[in-house]
Amino acid sequence: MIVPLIAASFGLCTTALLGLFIYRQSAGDYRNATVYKKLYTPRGFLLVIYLRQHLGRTNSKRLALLLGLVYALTQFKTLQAIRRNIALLDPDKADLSHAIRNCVTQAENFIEFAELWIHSTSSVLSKLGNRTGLDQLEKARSLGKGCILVTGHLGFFELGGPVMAELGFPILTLTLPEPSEALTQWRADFRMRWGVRTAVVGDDAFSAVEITRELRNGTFVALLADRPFHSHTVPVDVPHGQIAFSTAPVLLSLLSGAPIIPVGLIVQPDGKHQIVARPMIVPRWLPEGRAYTLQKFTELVAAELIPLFVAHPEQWHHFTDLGISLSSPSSAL
Amino acid sequence: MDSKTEVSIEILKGILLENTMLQVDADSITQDTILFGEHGIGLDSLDALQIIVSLEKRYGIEIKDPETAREALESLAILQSWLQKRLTSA
Repeated sequence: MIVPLIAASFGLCTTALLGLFIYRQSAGDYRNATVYKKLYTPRGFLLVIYLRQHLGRTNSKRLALLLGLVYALTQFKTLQAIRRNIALLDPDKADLSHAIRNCVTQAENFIEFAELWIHSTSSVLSKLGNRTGLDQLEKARSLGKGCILVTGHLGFFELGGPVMAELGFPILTLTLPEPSEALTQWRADFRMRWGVRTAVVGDDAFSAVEITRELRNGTFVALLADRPFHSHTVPVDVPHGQIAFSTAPVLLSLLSGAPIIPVGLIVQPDGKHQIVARPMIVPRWLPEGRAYTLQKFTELVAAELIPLFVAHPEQWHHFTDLGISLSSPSSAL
Repeated sequence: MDSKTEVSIEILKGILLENTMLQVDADSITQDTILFGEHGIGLDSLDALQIIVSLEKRYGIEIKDPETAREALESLAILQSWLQKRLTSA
């Protein structure tokens, strides 16, 4: 009885000190906080894995809850940004409760990350709950080319790569460079445990051309579209505003001939992960021209994903403002 | 020459300006300006993709691998020459 009490007290004190440290160190953008820079590293991930191994799943989840709460309550500006992002989807849910829950689910994602690490690669499929629309993936494969799997920062999206690999699809994940080369490499090595390859967009100006070759050869390419790379975006409607969405999926599709499938992973109340694949989209050149083609098909992709964000705003993880002014020009066109 | 197969520096520069978010003054770009890489004008991988998509749409010529892209898109003059060779052999 006394040991759990001591452990809980220690956890609480550590978390409070960490929270105070985060509060003192952060200056606006969460990425500027020293603690973020120190912890968002391979060592930080290994620390989470170590804690998960020694605390067990239940206690790790409790710790994640505590850390998420402390983070939320000490990061006022970030919490406000989360609330504004949720308000774009559903103003009724843009309250403190949903915003704090958003921080907690993100903290829990790190525990899920550790879960992936410590269990055998073949156990990945046991993490899945409801599966919707997976026939779309087989349909895409039957077309003889690869497929572009587009998702957002929703749920524990990192699970998607290992799941696809376990289902027998050759998968390549596109990422932006992490804050350090060491972390980029560590995360690439992590995915490689399941045979999920990583391509870092931006390293080489012609990397995207290589990706189109992969698509022609049958690779399934996964990327996030709701926090776009630089300015290659178009504005898309969400229920109460607009956000920028990447045009990269449509460009890759037009060049490779591979279809697009919008997908989402959502944490269910029982802790398992629901996978949703929406109907396949096959972009083609429209007579109105290139800009119109990019806009229209990117809107179609967004229209399949946004209802998932709306239904689960507490799992849509964006800690900086996403909303764009309606008067902003479309920068990519 | 069909306007669709005409390959002039002006047309190629127009494609460049229309498809990329340039970080330099458009007037400073000449036919010999290096477009990509360390000595380039700051274009990224999606800029490359947009240019390639536009070239394919206008001229019907595909650039399927990074090596060819790197060779063809070095500068507007090299791109002009590369396209002319492929259009005459098509």
